[in-house]
Amino acid sequence: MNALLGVIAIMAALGGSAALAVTGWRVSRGNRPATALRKPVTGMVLGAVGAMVVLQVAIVTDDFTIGYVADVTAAATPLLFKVASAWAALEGSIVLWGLVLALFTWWVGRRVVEGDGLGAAAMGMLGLVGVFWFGLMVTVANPFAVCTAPAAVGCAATSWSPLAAAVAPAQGLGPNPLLQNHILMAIHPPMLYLGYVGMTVPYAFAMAALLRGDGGKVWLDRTHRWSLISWTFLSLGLLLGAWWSYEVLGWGGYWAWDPVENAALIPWLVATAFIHSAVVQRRRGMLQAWNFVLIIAAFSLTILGTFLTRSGVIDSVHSFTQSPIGPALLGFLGVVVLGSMALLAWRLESVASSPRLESLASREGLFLFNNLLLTVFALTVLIGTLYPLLVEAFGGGQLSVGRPFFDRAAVPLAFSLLLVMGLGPITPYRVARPAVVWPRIRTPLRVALVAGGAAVLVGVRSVATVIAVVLAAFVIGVIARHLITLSAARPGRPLAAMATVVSGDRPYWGGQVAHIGIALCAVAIATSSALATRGEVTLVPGETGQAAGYCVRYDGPFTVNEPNRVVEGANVTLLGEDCTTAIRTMAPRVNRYPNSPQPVASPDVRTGLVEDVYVTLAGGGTTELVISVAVFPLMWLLWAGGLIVVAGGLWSVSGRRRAQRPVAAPKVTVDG
Amino acid sequence: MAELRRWVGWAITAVAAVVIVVGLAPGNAQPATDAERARAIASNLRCPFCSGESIAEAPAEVARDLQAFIAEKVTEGWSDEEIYDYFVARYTGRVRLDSRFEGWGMALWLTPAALGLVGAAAIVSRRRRPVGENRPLVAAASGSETT
Repeated sequence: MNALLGVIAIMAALGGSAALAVTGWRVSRGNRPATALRKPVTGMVLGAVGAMVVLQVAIVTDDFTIGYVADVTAAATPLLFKVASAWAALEGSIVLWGLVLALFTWWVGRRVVEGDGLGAAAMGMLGLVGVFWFGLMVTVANPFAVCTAPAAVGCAATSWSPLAAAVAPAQGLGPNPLLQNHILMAIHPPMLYLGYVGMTVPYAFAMAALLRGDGGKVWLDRTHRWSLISWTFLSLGLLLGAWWSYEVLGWGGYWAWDPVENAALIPWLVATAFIHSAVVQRRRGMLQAWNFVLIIAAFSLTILGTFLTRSGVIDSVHSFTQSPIGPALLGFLGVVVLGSMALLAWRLESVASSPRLESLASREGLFLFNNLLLTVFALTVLIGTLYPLLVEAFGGGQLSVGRPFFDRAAVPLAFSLLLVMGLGPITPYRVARPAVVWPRIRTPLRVALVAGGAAVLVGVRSVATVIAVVLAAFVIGVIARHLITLSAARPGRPLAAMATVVSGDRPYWGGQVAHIGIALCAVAIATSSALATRGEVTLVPGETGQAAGYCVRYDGPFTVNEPNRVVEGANVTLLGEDCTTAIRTMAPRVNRYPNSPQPVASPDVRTGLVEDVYVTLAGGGTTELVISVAVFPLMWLLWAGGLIVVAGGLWSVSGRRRAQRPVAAPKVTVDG
Repeated sequence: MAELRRWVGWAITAVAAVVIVVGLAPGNAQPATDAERARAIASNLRCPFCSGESIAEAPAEVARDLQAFIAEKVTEGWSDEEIYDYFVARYTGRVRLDSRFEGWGMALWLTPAALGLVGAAAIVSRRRRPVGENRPLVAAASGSETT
């Protein structure tokens, strides 16, 4: 029953998308009134919402006749993780993708009025993208495929037909243990998807503008907020992902340069380049063709990311053809890249030629370097991620590219970005003369050096960490000086004047807030990686041992039987270095799930202002236990910095709406 | 008074600069302990039975066993290269995560540098105006600060 309803809902969404693609284009040509868009959009939204509702009902009621449900959830899975398992694997995550796309399309459609040719054509493009995703759901990635042959747990074979004779396995397989170990796993994917799918909107407007032969900046103006919102969600998604791996993976890391992580970082870097280069075009009319290239890249990379993480290609080039998903996504990626670039080439004449750069020493010049650095960063991560596949495909044998390469490539790029970020706000547009720049730079430079000196005095001996501190202090110093200068020129009390300044030009100050967040993250990354200390002790109950500058006392084991897992933990008391003053009790655990032979460690973290103490169970025998203690300085700064970045993005978006709604122009007929 | 403040400001800056240079002078670097060496080696080797993470980072018990093995060899006096070679001989070149600058790895390392150079060249060439194009605009490098 659920299978039938689900497929009907997907068909409705597919039909709505297809109708929208055709109608959008006809409305944009003036052949149909704008109201004609309503029905297709309604079909798309109702279908997408319906598909998600049916999937959720099936999951929550343990309807194992549906193969996907049998494979991602189990009767004993807690409700929260059941709901989240709707996007735990490919088929379900595409349902979420389709739902977000449909809702965004509806939101965009609310602002498309009569005579808005660009908006209508963009709606058509959104419909076209919808055709692909909903088409995927009814063909190679059907989330409602019926289980025809049960396995011991989960489903062994499925049938596409919703009317096929369904056999429900007695038990569902349950979600991957890592995915049901922490609440963040329920929130992180939807945030990332809001960002990913959000990139579709500026892309649709860009393509619509090219199709209509309008290479100007109207599409940028109208999608300004969409780009910022998607970027903010992407940032939040990355932050939550990093947080999750810190809290769950048990080695205290938050970033491993894993292909799945890279797949989210690359679009974020390109989107960051895009929101900066969009400023240059909107302010100075430059970089018009480049902005088209960037938005095409950002959208393509979201598809490439899905391809890399969902097709199995990462494990080996030879495994991805085992599922038809890989070729389908790769084909769509090819169509998008080639089609969009061909369209851009065809319409290049309508993309107004940009005014040239007057001087490299100018705000525009720095924006160009920012774009260069971010693009090289994105390409470097992309190449590093794809390199093993390329080498294997060209017969070069198997090799790995990991943290050593990415870290070494990323550090100089990140430092250069921080430098440009600091110089940006003090550099005027057009031409920057030393006489103008020097007075603005003097105090922040001093602040930066003093901060670096202070870091050395408290014992930091890592060169990279000190450089990061100096650059971050420079960035923050520049912003602070700017704010103080502008607010000093205003009447009233200083704090009130600052609030007035920051609420005045929100797109700008939101950006500066995000810069402060990035600078804090840079400090946190540099200190926590260079100054981490680790240790291990093997203890029997009642015994005390020293590790990483702390004492730990093993008080005893405990076991908790939960419906979906067995929790084996240890009560541990964390003591100061003298082994007498108790700091707090901690309970690191190991969770065992029935569907996995690998237990999942669940570290206990004591977050402090100076450092985090990260306690994990590293193994043990019948009575003795290996307890691993790691100390990470300033970890809270990373999460705080990330949240400040997100707050900056939101502050930018909250700015006064520019006249985005186009005035319905009277129809003008041109003769000859 | 203003003069004095200026001097104090510069003095603090100079002291900070000296502290940074002296504090980070190469002579101050301490040799890596055995544990640090073992960890560095473990983070340069892919855990052969895990999902792509390094031996230092993989949340699996086999990774812990391999960490212990590396630590043991380090205390026994094996050199870094000997340990790497041991792993490569057992698990093929795929275990090395540190992409050395040789063979295929060379192209990998050179690509970002090449990309950066090409991009920088593109930016610089944008600036050069062909002869006869518009006269330069009056530079608006005024002292007033805008956002």
